Amino acid sequence: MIISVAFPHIANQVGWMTAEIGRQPWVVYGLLRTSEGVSPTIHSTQVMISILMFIVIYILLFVLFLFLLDRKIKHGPEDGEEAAIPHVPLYTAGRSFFAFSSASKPRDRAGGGGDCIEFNTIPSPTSSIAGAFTQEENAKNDRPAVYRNPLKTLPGDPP
Amino acid sequence: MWMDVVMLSRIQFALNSGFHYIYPPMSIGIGLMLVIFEGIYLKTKNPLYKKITKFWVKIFALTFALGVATGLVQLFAFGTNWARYSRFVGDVFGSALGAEGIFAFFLEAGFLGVMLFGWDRVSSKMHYLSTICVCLGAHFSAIWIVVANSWMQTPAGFKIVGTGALAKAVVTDFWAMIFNPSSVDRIIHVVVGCWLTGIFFILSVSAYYFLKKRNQEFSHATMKIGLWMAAVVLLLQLISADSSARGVAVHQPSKFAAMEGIYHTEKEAPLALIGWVDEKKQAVRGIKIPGLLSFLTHRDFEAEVKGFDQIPEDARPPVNLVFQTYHLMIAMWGLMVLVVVAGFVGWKKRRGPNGPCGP
Repeated sequence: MIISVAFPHIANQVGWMTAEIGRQPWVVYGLLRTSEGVSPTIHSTQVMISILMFIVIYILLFVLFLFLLDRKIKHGPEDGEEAAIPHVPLYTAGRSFFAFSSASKPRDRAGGGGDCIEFNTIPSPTSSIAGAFTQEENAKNDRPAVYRNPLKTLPGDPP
Repeated sequence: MWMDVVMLSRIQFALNSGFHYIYPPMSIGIGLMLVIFEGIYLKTKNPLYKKITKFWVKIFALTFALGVATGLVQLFAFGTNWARYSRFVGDVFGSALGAEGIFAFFLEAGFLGVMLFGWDRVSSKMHYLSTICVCLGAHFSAIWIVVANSWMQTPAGFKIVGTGALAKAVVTDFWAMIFNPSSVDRIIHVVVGCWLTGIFFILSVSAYYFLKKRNQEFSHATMKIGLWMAAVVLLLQLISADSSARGVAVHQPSKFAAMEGIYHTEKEAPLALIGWVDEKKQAVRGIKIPGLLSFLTHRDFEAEVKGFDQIPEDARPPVNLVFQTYHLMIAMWGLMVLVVVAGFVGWKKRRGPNGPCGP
C-alpha cells in the first residue's frame, strides 16, 4: 500500500498525456494547428538549452521536495499538549514513557501480536510529558486527568 | 535536425506541465481530506483529529508552494514559446486564466496563512472556515485551468476576427465558453483524480507508519477514513470516466479513435483490454471483447463506432502512444481498486475475531 501513492500520479500523468496528445495535431481542436501556434522568432537551439536547464532545476526541486517531505513524515505528527491526551481506554502509549525513562527499553509486548496496531508503541523521545500518564494513574495519584500548561490559554477557555 | 522548434517546444511544455501536475493534485486531494479531518475534530472534539489535521496542513503547504512555483513557468511559456497561439486565443484563454488568478489563487493563498498559523489565534470555527476556503480555492484553480484547456479541446462561444496571421478568437458568449461541451466532464474527471492522489498519499503514509509501528493511533484513524474515501471516490471516477469517454467519442472522434485504436468504422466494435497498435498495418493486437466498445460508447452492442477512415490523414494523432497512455491510466485505476480491496481485507483480518487485534 505504501507504493500505491504512485498509482494515481501515474494515472494523472498518462491521462493528461492521453488528453493532450490525443488532441494533436491541433492545439485548439479543429481551429489551430500546433505548428501554427509556436513562436516565430525562437530557435530550436534556444529551446534545447532551456529544456536542459529545466531538467536540471526540476531534478533539484524534486529532490528538495522529497527531502522535505521525507523529513516531515519521518518526524511524524507532533505530540502537542492536547494531542497526547489518551482518548481510548486501552491506549497505553503513555506508559511507555516510564519504560523509556526507567528501563530504556520497550515494554514487553502483550499477547505476542507483533504486528498488532496498538499497545506496543515504542517510545519516542518526542512524546511529551502530557501523555506520560494514563487516566487511571492520574486518578490514583490525584493529578488532574488532563495535564495542561497553566501559563497557556487554550481556545475555548473562559477569558 | 531531427527535432524542430515545434517538437522541442512541445517537449518543453510537456515537461513543465508534467512536473507541475505532480503537486496541485496533492494539494487538492489533501485539501479535501483536511476539511474532513478538521470537521471530525470540530464535531467530536477528539484531539487526535487536530493532530492529524495539523500534520497534513504542513504537507499541504509544501505541495502548495511547489505547485505555485512550477505553475508560473507555464504562464511564461505561453509568451516565450507559444506567442502565436497566445495571440490567437489570448482573449478567450486569458480570461479563464485570469479568473483562476483572481478568484481561486487569491482565495487559496489568502486563507492559507490563517490555516497554517492561526491555530491558537483565531476561533476554531474561523479556522475551519479558512480550511474550507483553502480547499475551495484549490478546487477553483483546477476548475478554471481545466475550463481553459477544455476550450482548447472543444471550442465554443467564440468567433474568429481577422484573417491570416492577425486572426484571433474573441468571446461572444462567456457562459458557452465556460461550459463548453467537454468542460464539465473533464472538470469532474480531473478533480476526482486529484482527490484520489491526495487520498492515496495519505493511505501510503499511514501504511508506512503501520509497518514502522509508529504513530499507530494516528495512522489507524487516517487509514480507516482513507480506505472508505478511496472506495467511494474510485466508484465516482468510474462514472465520470464513462461520461468523459463518451463525450470524447462525440466531440473529438480523432482522439477517441486513437484512445481505442479504431482504424475502421465498424459495428459491434470490440474493446481492447490490453494491446499493441500496429500503426503500419492499422490494427490492434491484444485481448479484445467483441461489441463492448459499441455498448460503452452508445449503450448498444450493435452501434457503429467511428474510426480513422473518416478522419483525414493529416488530422490524426499518434495512435499507439495515446492508446498506451489511455490504457495505462485505466490499469492504474484497476490497481487502486485492488489496493483498496486488499486494504479492507487486511483490515478485517486484523480486526476480526481471530485476528491479532480482535476483541
